Amino acid sequence: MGETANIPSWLGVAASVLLVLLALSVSVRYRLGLTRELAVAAVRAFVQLLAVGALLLIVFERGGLLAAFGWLAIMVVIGGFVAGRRAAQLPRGVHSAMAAIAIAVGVTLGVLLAFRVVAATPEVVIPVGGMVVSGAMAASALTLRRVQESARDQRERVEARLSLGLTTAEAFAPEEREAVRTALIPAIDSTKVVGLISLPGAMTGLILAGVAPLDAIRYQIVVMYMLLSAASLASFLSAKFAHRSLFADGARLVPIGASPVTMVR
Amino acid sequence: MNPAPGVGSWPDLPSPLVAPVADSHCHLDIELAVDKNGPGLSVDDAVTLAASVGVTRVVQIGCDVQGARWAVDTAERHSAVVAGVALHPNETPKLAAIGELDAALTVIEELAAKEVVRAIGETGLD
Repeated sequence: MGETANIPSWLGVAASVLLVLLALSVSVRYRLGLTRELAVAAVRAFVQLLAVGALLLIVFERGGLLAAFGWLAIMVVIGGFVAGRRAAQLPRGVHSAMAAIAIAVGVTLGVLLAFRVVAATPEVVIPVGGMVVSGAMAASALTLRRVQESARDQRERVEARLSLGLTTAEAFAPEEREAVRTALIPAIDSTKVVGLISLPGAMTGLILAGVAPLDAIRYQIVVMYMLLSAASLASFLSAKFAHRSLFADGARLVPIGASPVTMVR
Repeated sequence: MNPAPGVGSWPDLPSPLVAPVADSHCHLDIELAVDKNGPGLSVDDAVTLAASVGVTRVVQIGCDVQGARWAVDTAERHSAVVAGVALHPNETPKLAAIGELDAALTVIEELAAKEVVRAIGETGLD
């Protein structure tokens, strides 16, 4: 690719440090107590992006597709931990999240690659894969969080359904459905307003790189569709896997967090 | 499925329900006891007939120690059956009178821990 007129030079980056100083001056002037945090954040962004840029350079030039998928696998693992920890009281939450994200990413990216919608090159697999993982992660986190709340707060409802003879799947289905419905709101809403409110990253990036707008939006359409798929699959699967770990032998709903003892004497 | 003469007859099967449901409170043992003269309605037949009209799962309720044992036993042998166990309030004074209430409650407690047991019933409230 090489340097193009649209990309800031290193000198330009140095100049943009002025903007960080501007932010710092606000913190100092109003004694926000954020000066240190702001400075650390700015340095972290620089170091992290420099590291990731160098790593990407190595993968693109030497690593090939295998390294790209390895990178993707690491993203899935990190995503699993982040999403799973949103529901720390859920048994095997991290497992549920990681498995759901892995399958959602595998299927979504698999379809895109199988139909040659996107190219099977590291330059595509890593950034597009990253978007898919991040969409799947967000949906999984919201789902598991909601499932955890339901299993704790709606315990009586679920147990009542079980006592009336329903299977565990039937007894938890309304809570499960509600969790998935809630978790999909961000993905659906951001798809609704794309172009109206947000000019999203992939499209903006392509336009910045000099791609014609009508070409850039084609990429963005694919991105929006793939995010819908990633979020839906990750949410649905997270709920399914979480549901499985919620019930012990004999269809007993495991206690979640500080569940109140509901027996009346 | 016809009972022996003199004990009435089973009603015709209703048309199947539009969606499968669970019968939340069932006394299959009483159904069996109605027909003491001939081949009654076995649990197998009852469960099959129920399923044919859309009642795919059954909660069999035990009202006393014997009934509770039967409910657990039946639920363990039929995948479509789960059990509820308890002493009916009609039973407790009788058991108390002969000093067996505590022992009976202990048995119910043990049975309640079985995997097929989904509910405490019948308690007189259900």
